[in-house]
Amino acid sequence: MASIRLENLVKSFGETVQAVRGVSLEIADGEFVVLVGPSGCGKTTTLHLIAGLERPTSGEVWIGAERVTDWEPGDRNLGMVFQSLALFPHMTVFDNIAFPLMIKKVPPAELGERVRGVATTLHVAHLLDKRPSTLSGGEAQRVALARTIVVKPAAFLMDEPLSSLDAKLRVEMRTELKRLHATLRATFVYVTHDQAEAMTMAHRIVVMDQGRVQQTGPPLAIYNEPANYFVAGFFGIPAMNFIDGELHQASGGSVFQAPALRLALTRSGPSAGGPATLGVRPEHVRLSDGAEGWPAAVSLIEPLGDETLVFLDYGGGTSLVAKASAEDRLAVGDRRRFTLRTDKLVFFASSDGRRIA
Amino acid sequence: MMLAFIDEVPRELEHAARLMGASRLATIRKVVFPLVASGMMVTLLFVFILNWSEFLLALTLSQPRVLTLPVLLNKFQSAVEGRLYGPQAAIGTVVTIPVVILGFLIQKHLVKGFSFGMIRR
Repeated sequence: MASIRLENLVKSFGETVQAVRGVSLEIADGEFVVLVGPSGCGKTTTLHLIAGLERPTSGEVWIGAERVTDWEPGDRNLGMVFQSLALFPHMTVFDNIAFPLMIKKVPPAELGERVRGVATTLHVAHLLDKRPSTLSGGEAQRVALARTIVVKPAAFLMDEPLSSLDAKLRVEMRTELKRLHATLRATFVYVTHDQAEAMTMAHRIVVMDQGRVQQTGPPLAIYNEPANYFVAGFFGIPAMNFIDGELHQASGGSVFQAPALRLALTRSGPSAGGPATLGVRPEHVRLSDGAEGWPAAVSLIEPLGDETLVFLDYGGGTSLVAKASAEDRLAVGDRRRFTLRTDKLVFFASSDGRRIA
Repeated sequence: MMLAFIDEVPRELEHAARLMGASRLATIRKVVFPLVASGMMVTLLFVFILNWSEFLLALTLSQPRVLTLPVLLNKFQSAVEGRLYGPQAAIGTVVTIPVVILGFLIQKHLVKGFSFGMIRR
């Protein structure tokens, strides 16, 4: 097992494309870190830089106490599960799992024992004579994991390994991966664009965009205390509501003024004035029965079973999404009032998206 | 033609092999080569047919005592009897036999190779 350290990694492709722009990261031994971000944010390239499949333009990669920046991938003692799983189609499941051991010239008796041992652990022992093309999605996933585990790598790298599975199986495999991590106590670096995967599996999430780390922290900290506009918008289903407006200083606090909405902030709000964006999560928009709050018309309803998403037209540029109880009897066209939980509001500077309160 | 078959092999398979410690040569030998074998067989058949039936160069370069079969086929013509269709047709049929035999021998690969769908993505 080993820790991983990235020091100011930069990776350019040609003169115009810079996929990774100065990523520095410390991953502790045994930690489950998830790199998350939209397509093209540089997360897979960062993983390839750790694996050695790409050489950094500048910067360093450390695994444990070794500087491995120039090492060949096979010398780094890492296990990787690919998005397509990359099982060798011309080999049986046994040969697939045995392949890394054969490369390392493990004696046949020990090889067979280790392959069967890991296959039993991952419940694929009955598939050893089959070809990958005959396996189901979940079985292929387990075989890919078995092939990675069999060499006991220092760290596991996973590049969106669940993206090809259907929704139900993905949730099951998510749980299995978490259990596997708890059993192995190994370092896991997991890449995904699925925020639900990131939130449920990670000890620590690294949010990336445009080749840079936007925020690093535990899942709930990322969700509740986003560092900037991008992170706030990326996490959460449905996404956070954003309202563009202007902050003014007033006696006793500050005031956020937007079309059809004026909000006096009594708590320690943003100290600076100027154009700003208010962010509020749908669960913090409350439909009220009384006279307080702002009037709005229900424009759309999305029942989810346990709760209902309500789209409110309050006179601003876009609709405001609120989470309401499934028992609330609402209909399109209803006129209701809504309030915002002021202790949960976040503000971002309109100029660069950084969090100001 | 071979390039198209090699391009079909997903790069992730090569990456996986390299991460497991396989050298570039071992990766080609144990992963890429078995996957493009069908493509190589199809290419082999095409190259064989092209060379087997080559006429123009063979006609220019061959000597009267050393002929290729397509050039020999052209020689079944007599000043007295005109074109000798019988022997010409017989040799023409014999000429196709090696190609048919080769086709049968690599039939298993031909099906895969012609379909181009040899690798499940």
